[in-house]
Amino acid sequence: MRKLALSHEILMSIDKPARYIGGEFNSVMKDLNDIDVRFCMCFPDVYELGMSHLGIQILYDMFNSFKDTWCERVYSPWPDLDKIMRDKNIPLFALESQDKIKDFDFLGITLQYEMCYTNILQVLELSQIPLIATDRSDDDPIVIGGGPCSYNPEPIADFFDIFYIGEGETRYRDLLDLYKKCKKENYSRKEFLIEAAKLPGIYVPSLIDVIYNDDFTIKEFVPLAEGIPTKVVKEVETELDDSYYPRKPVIPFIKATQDRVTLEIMRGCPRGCRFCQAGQLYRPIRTKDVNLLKDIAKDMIDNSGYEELNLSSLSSSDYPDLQELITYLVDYCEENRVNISLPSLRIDSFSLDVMSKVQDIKKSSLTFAPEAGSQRLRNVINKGLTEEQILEGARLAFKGGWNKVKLYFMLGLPFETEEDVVAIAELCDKVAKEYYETVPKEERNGRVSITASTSFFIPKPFTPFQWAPQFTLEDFREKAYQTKTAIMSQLNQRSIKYNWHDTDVSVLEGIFARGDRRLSKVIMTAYKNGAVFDAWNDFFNYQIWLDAFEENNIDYTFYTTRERSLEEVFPWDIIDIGVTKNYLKREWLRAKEGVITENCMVKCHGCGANKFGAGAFCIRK
Amino acid sequence: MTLRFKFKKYGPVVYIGHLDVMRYFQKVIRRTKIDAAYTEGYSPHLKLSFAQPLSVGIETDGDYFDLEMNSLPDMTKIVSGFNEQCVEGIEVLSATILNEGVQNGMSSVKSATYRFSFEEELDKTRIDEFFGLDKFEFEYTQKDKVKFKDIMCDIYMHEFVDSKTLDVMVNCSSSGNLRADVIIQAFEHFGISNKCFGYKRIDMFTTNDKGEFISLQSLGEVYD
Repeated sequence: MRKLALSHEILMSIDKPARYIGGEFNSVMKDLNDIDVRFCMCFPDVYELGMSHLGIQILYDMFNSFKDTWCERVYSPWPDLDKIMRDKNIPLFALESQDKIKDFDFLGITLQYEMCYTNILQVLELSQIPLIATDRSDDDPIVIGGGPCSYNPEPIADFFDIFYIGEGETRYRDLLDLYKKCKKENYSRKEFLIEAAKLPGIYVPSLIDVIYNDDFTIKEFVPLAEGIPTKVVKEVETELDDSYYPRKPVIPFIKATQDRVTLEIMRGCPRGCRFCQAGQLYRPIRTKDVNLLKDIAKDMIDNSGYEELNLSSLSSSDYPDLQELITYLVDYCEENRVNISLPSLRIDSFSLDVMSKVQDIKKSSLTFAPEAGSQRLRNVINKGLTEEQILEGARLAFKGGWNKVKLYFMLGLPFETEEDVVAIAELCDKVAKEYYETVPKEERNGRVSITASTSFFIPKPFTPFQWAPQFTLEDFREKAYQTKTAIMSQLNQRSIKYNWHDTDVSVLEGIFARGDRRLSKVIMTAYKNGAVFDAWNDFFNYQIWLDAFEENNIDYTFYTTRERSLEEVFPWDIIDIGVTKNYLKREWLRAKEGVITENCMVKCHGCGANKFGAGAFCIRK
Repeated sequence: MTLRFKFKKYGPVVYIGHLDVMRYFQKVIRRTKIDAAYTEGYSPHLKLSFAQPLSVGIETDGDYFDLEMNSLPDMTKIVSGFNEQCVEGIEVLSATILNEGVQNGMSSVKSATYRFSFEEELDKTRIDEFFGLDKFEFEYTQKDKVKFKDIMCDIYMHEFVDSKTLDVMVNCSSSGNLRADVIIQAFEHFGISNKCFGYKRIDMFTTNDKGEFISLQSLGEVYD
């Protein structure tokens, strides 16, 4: 019988004790005598969120397929348990073995969003691992960061020994082998890190010195040991079909946020929207074989017992064999009483036909993501969706019996004017009008319901908009107010509902997204002053952060609203994602002109990602 | 056609709440691929019902759920088939093909037996004296609420298992459910100082036409 790290009394006194007991179906137990490397994967947020994350499931499957490695999991203890662990000095433990994290060889932390940064410190502190990487001894685990935020890891550089840049499937085996060798030959922590930094995709921030100009922009990156590169090229899995995939996913006892199996159908996106970071980071586009996907889907459903299957990709409509895949899955799922949750498909007769089979039309809604209200601004952001396409999609849907439509927009996009904001309202009105013109009165199932939601745009590294100044909080609020007023003045305003969230978090996300190493001490200060679970509205405290910037003498507008010159060296320039800075620059200039760039399927624009030699659309047919 | 499953739950998984145990078994059932019946509609659900929820943190040797079937699987392999899909700490003990007309567990359960383990030897005279009372009214807390009522009307019998272990059968029905921790509170209130360090549910019962308590698993052909 497995032992538990927490006593009965503690488990009975906290919310959802099942978060901390492990032992889930398909979770992996190994005998310590058979293994050389203990790896703990961490999602620095609550269990239910962490268990919904596909990336960890893939890596968990990969690590545990290595005979010499046991990969376990840990998540952020909720504040109720956090307090007890501090009061009673209980060290943080991994779910499977319930052993202390401190005894592991590696602690791998996935960086999915900027607002988890204080939770990283929580996990380290509760694990009794020194927060600053260079304070760690040879006995402490090697702390590795990975995932989307590791593409600009500089704000959290002080806390990590290693950042693994790119897809985990390719280089971990080499890293573990190196670790075993270094351990055998009694290398010190630092000696191991120097060797690790010579591996492709491995970035050791403590071995790079960042030299600043007087205005705090970056002058250069200087390696602190021989043979350490100042450009780390991201890792790319070029053979997705032969790679790892969790056919036996771990099934949480408590309901995860994403309570379903996820089938990843492709990586990368050919669309090239200029605001989208994922669209650039995950190039080149790689698709999985349709027959393999059918097989994986069947296995995952059989091995999990889940009632829902979800397709995952950045742009499923661009998956070449989508019709074949979906037709097969819809049949298989119906037979096995599994719901299929369709991703954001382009609205056309095929997708509507599929949706009508798997959803209750009366209850479900259709989603469009025009992102910007006017055609002009959609061209600026290179969102290849025209007003006619949106209205045509809506018309088809209304004819098919739908009467609920959701529209997603961003506010605060570069070069946005008041007319662009008003155009959001006008587009909503046009969709409403389309309903009343398409559906005769006697066939209407009540009023059309249009929900417009806006989020605030935050410029991200490795996008053409990485040069764009972010709008201020006041600007954001003003824009939301303009949107609301404009919607209120539309003819069909009674059919349109407008949602937006007031969010100080946008400012912080913007700071960390394009931040540099000077921010590590701000994060440390905020954490020491009580900031944790910043991604949760209930816990987020903006004032703590404002105070932390002040205490460290850092003007945060340097990171957000500042104009950046085309020549500026960015903190993330130490990383090479394949897509070149020159290409991004060209795209930024085209955005300024409002000129669109065709997607990869139509024409190659030489973004640079073809150097990995794996792009589905990179090789001209 | 309905199958009634008896299961036990022990070890770390006792911290999984009732709703999550239900979700857990839904997945187990789907994984076994038996021909269970589903509701109609866009999100079909298994026709599954549990006799009585079990509080978080409590072990059980005898909890039950009923599952409606379209057709029966090979009953000789059903218990092992389920256990292949179960985690450590949750174990299916038997499956019963319920006789025609048997009510579901939730509406027919009448009582449950709990086994209390004590630190020291039990003072049998004193305990018999307690259970011999016609009425025992006292103030106790249940789920953070303070109650004042007679509990003796909900206690049906007691039995000494060994010198430190005691079984008590209590009301566990739609007309009233006496929680095991209330009995411990009553012992303390009555002045039995011997500390109970744990208890678990042993089995659940309904009544036959003679009014006798019979185990929920016994209402049909039992496979284990």
